[in-house]
Amino acid sequence: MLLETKSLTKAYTPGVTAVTNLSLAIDEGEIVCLLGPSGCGKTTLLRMIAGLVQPDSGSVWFEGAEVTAVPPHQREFGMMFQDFALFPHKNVAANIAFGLEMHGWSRERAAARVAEMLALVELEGFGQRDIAQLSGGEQQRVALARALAPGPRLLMLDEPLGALDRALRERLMLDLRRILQRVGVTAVYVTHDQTEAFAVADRVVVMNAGRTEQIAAPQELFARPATPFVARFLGFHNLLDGVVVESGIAATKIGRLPFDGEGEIGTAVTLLIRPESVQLAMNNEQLTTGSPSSFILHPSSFITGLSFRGRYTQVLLACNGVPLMAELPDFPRWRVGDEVAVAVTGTQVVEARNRVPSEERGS
Amino acid sequence: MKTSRSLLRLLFLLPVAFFILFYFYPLAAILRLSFAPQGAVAWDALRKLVSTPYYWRILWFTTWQAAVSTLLVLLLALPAAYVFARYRFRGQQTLKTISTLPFVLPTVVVANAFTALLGPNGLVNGWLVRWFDLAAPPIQLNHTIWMILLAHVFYNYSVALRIISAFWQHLGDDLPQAAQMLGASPRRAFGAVTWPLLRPAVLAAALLVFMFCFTSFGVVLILGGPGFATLEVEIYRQAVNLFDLPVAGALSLLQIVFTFGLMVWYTRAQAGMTRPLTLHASHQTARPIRTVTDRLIVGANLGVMGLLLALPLAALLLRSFTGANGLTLQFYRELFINRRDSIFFVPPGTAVLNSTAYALATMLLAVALGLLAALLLTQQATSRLTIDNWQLAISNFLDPLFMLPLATSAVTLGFGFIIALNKPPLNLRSSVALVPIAHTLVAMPFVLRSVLPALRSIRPSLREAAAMLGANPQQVWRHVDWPLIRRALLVGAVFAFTISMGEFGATLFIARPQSPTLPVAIYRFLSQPGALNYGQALAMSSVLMLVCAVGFAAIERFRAGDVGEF
Repeated sequence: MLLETKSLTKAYTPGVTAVTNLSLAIDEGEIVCLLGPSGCGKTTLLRMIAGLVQPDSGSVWFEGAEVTAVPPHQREFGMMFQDFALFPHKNVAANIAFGLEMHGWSRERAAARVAEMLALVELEGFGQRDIAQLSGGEQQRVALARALAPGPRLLMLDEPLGALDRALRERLMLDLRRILQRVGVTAVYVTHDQTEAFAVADRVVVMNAGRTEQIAAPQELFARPATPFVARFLGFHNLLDGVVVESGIAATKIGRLPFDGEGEIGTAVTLLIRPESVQLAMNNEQLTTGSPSSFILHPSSFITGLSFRGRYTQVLLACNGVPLMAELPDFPRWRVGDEVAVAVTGTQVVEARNRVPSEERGS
Repeated sequence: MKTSRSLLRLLFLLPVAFFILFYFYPLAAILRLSFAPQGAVAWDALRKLVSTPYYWRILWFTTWQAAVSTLLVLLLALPAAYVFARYRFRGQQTLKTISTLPFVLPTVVVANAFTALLGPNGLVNGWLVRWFDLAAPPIQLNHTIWMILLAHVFYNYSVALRIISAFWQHLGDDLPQAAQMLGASPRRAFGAVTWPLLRPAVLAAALLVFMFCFTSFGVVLILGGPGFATLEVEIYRQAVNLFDLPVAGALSLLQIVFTFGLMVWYTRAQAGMTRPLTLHASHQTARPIRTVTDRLIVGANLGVMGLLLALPLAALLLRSFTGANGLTLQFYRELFINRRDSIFFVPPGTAVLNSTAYALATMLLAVALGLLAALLLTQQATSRLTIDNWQLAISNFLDPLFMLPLATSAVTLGFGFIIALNKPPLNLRSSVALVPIAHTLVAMPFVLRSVLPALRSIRPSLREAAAMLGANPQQVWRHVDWPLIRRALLVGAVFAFTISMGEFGATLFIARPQSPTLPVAIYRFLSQPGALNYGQALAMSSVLMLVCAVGFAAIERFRAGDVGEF
């Protein structure tokens, strides 16, 4: 284990904690993403690891030694800032050489390293340019080169693509992953964008209101969101409360639905219906569900909205008054207001609460 | 480490100590003088002030001349502000820059420029007499209110122009356009949308101009003659000519109350300018000159600017080279000859040296203290890790405190100095340090206002990035902060130098008779009869103007973008 945080807590204003009792462990060579909405405490956590913010309580450990009180300039971590924080009064080469200069590298060695870094980020020949002459994507790569140049023991990236437009982001996140992997540096990466987190990270830490919601590999996270918050954050909106009525079956407002996994009878659960698990047809007879566990919903369902999204069409339904979302591979012939038959082929439990037994309630 | 840090803390407190010693202590002395001259509380001076109609007349004159001056300034500057905000033409930036030159010109220079143009021996009268073969100069403006108003307009035109046009430029066209799309005529769109948005800027400009005119000293003293006195001039006369110190003290108090009230109002008005608006880059809102109307509007405004700003300065230069028999260098040559063996007469060359030495000392002192004050004020910004509410409150309190000398008239400052600093515990009466100290008080706010925005505009992430790359706090300062504020500090330094060169009101009080500064020497020449003395005054004014113009050019050159609040 390379880095460990133990019960970190930070409150900027008394009583309002930005990060609460947060413990996290990161292995050598790993790229870990801190993912969450703005204000969830991910940047504060990153800055506590960097030493730019002092925690109110808890500690930071690096290679088995406590570094909580070590000032940032002695930690030998690298950091890429959201606004890139390139020194406007220095040119590209001087920016990249800054950390080397601080670490007392000789002029020749530093020059060689700067050239190596410029090659790594594919900016050969940019050394003498002014920062103001660079495009957003070029600035981003200079910032990365500058952070990597002194060979940091840990690289931190705070929304490194946040300032760039969408198309550029798509391209650069792959570049970024390639470069980080080639260098083999351990990295902590803060973002609010799940696409970015999935593309770059080995492991994703989903944060909400100063706490971790789920820590998992991207595939695992996407396949099995552990909490309603994670599900909603990943863009799943079909969340339904229900009660387990028999093994693998829960009763909900729109009928009995199957779910994966165990669940004691009487347990209150929140179910996630993935949009691709919702099937639609003109009437019940036409539903070609195939799957043995698929359930046809009995209540009448109406289409409330259709929106074309390119590779799929998003269909909004009202199913016994409950909003549901489905994704169809082609554009259907239905119109808003049409009645349709709906089947659900499977659900996942994202939250289970043991109900208070009814006999205890009275006493 | 610990002790060196607390030593550093003490260093930061130097500007505060400076202010307590050289600003509040003299102010307290004025208070004591007017309320309790003999130790016990006495209301004599104040009673005399209230019961004498003469002083009421002075207050009334001070107020109305300032109000009329302000009105004239706005009347002339508003159209020009529109031209500069909405039109794009060649040389626009240069013109705007040059138009700001009067702001740094010493009052004695401006006063002389106007007498050189319109005075009895002025350029215009000279021409008229020659062309029409007149017996006496036809224009008799000297020692009339018109001369004072003209000089005030000259001085403050650029202040109003700069404040209003800068704000107008960034307002953008989309709001009035939105109003027009909703059915408002261009005139109604202006009345309903543009004017309300512009009003805080106009008000701020008006208040600032009013304050400058209210505390006008050199212009009124020289151009107004004995018939006119503002509060400021009266304080000087009471203290120096009549030696009635308690009355001078009471008048100073009155002056302070007025200027502080105005300053508070001005700060409020300025806060109103920070309404959340989408500000536009100026190039989006300006249009080139196309139609005849455009040409007329721009041309008329530039004409006014030329007549008002350029002509008096040109007249000053021309007159300084004009003797009885045409062009001559006589007045400049005379500057270095001591014609009389008076012990109070100091060769003008010495005055130049005095002024330069004082200005250099002021510059050093103001830059050192201004920089320290700026660091003190931004301390909570640099060490964001520990936001200390107490520290924040201190800095919120200190920021306006350091601006107080701007709201205090120069004469009041000088007067406070001679009554407070000429006896133990702090006797500096015969010290050469007195003048640079007074000038530093006036100049430091300018240094602070130049450096503070630069220091505040440094993104915290730059310092953090440097720290993450291994720079210790000293290295962060040397490699990030210092290179980024260097230019702003240079601007502040030149400001301090220029202000010290031209300072008149306070210096007249405190400069030792045998070592006058340039403005004081010019004033002495003016109070002597004869064409030679007058010519020498003009020659010295021209030299001073040149020095200030060079300093001003340097400021504009070094000013990076529009950073800096002046």
